[in-house]
Amino acid sequence: MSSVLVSEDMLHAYIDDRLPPDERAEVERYLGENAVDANRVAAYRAQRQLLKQTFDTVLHEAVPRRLETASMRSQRTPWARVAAVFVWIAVGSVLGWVLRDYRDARTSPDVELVQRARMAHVIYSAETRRAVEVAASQEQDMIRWLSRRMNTAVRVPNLTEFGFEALGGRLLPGSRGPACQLMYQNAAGKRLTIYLSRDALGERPVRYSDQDTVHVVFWSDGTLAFAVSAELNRDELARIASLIERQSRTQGG
Amino acid sequence: MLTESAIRDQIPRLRRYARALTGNRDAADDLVQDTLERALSRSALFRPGGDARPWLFAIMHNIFVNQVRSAAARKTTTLEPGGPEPAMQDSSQDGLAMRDIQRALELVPDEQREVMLLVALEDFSYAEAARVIGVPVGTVMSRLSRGRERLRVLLAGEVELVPLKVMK
Repeated sequence: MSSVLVSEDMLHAYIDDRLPPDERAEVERYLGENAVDANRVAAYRAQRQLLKQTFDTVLHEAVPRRLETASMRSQRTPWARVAAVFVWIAVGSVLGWVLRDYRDARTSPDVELVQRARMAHVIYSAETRRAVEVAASQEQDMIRWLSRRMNTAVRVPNLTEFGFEALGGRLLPGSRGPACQLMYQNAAGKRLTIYLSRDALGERPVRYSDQDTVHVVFWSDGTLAFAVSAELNRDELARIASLIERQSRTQGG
Repeated sequence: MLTESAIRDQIPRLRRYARALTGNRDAADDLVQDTLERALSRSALFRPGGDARPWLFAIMHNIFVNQVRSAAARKTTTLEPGGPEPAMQDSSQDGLAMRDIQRALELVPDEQREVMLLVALEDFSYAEAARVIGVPVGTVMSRLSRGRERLRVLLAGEVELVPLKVMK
């Protein structure tokens, strides 16, 4: 520090091995004549080495699983799942086209589900004052009530990220027992409904129906069949359906 | 675009740095997890051909600074049960020295500790460390100098191990 030639910065650069050879020689010459700084530099060197020795042990520890998963994109972003929904819709469309004659000949449970869901959507979403039986403001009551009547845990998916707020729900007759409808509305007054039915006959992939202006995306997880209806385009509806599917899966069980 | 494996490769280094920075295993891994999550959500902003390591450390620095600013989670977590870190259980001469330096390190101000660790553990150049922290190189140098001197004095036992506010 006392030398004009050797600055404090140079001493640190010397410790960190960042000096060109000529400057390093200069520092060494200086330290040979200045015992106080030489001791200081030796102490800094030792602490640098000790720090490395102390914390290098962490490098050899097994990485906790939560950090492994935190670094996986699929875990964090919905895109892979959204893509999967699109794939299923494509598969479903092709299958639906190929099998349309069979379907028309004999009304399948899936077609019935879509018909009921669409009908319920058209009828109740037109209601301004009595759109729902139980308002979402009493969400806990509504969930308890619907779950009891449906005989399975019913969740109310959160769709605020798409601008839809839950208005409430109502119980409806299904083909083999109770069904229910959850109704949502966005700021523009557009309504979206989720029709839940226990009529499901097993797992069904996500499929899409666009026979009129009300589009329906439907699938079943084996316990509950879901049909999401709204006057939205296919992409928007698929994204919302993907979110609902994800929420019902992560919260369920 | 940053690949997942490029991020994953840095996890051990991020953990090492976070452990030294926070002095606590769980707090450190929380910091790493927050860093990974933010890195993934911002990977589109990563400059192609850039180096993932300083980028990730800069993210960690920002999260750490915000945490410290919002009432220092670190100070409370170090008091929680969970016991000493594995590196401290060794009672050999080396083990004692390691324990001493960990304890002393906690008494070095955050901003000085950060620079010392980026340089000593990660071997970042002064310019890289300056970019990670977002300060001029001159600031890095003065923090490094003060931090090292502080640690030397602490380890030499020339002052009592008292909270730093007294020093300001």
